[in-house]
Amino acid sequence: MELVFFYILSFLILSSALAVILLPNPIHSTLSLIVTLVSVAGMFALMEAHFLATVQVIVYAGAVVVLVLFVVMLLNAKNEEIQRKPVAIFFSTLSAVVLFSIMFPLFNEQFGPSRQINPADKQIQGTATALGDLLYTQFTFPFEVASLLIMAALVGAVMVGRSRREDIDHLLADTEGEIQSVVNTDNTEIQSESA
Amino acid sequence: MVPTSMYLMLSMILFVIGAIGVIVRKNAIVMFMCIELMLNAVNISFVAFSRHHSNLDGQIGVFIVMVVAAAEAAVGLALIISLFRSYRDVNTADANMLKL
Repeated sequence: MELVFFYILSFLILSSALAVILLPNPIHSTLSLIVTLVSVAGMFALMEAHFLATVQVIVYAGAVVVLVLFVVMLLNAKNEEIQRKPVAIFFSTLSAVVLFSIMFPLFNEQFGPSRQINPADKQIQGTATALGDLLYTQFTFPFEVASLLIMAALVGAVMVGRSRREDIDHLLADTEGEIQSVVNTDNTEIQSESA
Repeated sequence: MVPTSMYLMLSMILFVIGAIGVIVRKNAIVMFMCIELMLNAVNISFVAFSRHHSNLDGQIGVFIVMVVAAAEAAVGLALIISLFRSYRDVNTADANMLKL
């Protein structure tokens, strides 16, 4: 039964990930990214990481993707041709081959000590209680550093994303020019009508 | 129970899809999404190893990766908007002022 769910979720993850990189329209890419992230959340649930599955849905599928979708629609991104240059194809193949050859020794099932070898170990459950217990005792320092990182990223995002004075002046000059040209054409139309 | 090696294979394929996406796409937003795909591939193998060794430390790692991804989303999208302001486009091939 677990294997059936694994195959269904793998199929969803891989097909929607391919859709993300192959669809020319960025909005379609973003929507397939939602499918990928929710399926990854299902995969976490399959591996008994319940808390992470919840956080995956809330943070990734909820917050990050909405932010991306917002930016895609704000910037009105156009369709895009996928690169088919030989360089791009070469580096794609190279990355696939290198990663596969690095990971290949891990694909036989007898690596490392696992809980199958020691059945006395009870199955772990990634619940909020278990994770919180670790996070506030053994991993307090990384947790605090992560919160500091979020703070710095927020300030940085505001600094990078804010509009500068000259940009606004530039935009205003553009719109004033347009208004002036509209007024001019109106005037000439009125003059031609009266003549 | 599904063997850990199958989760690792899935994670590797997902990572390669993300890496190829970063190489073949020129739209900065789609490249950003491909980075998210790669982070998710790594998260899957983190959780797979955590299950394999009956140890929750890997899941703490996933939690930290998610924090970094959220921070990256905020800064990355601000950078993309800033790129769009200068070039009126999000095509990374246009941003070549530092190219020799």
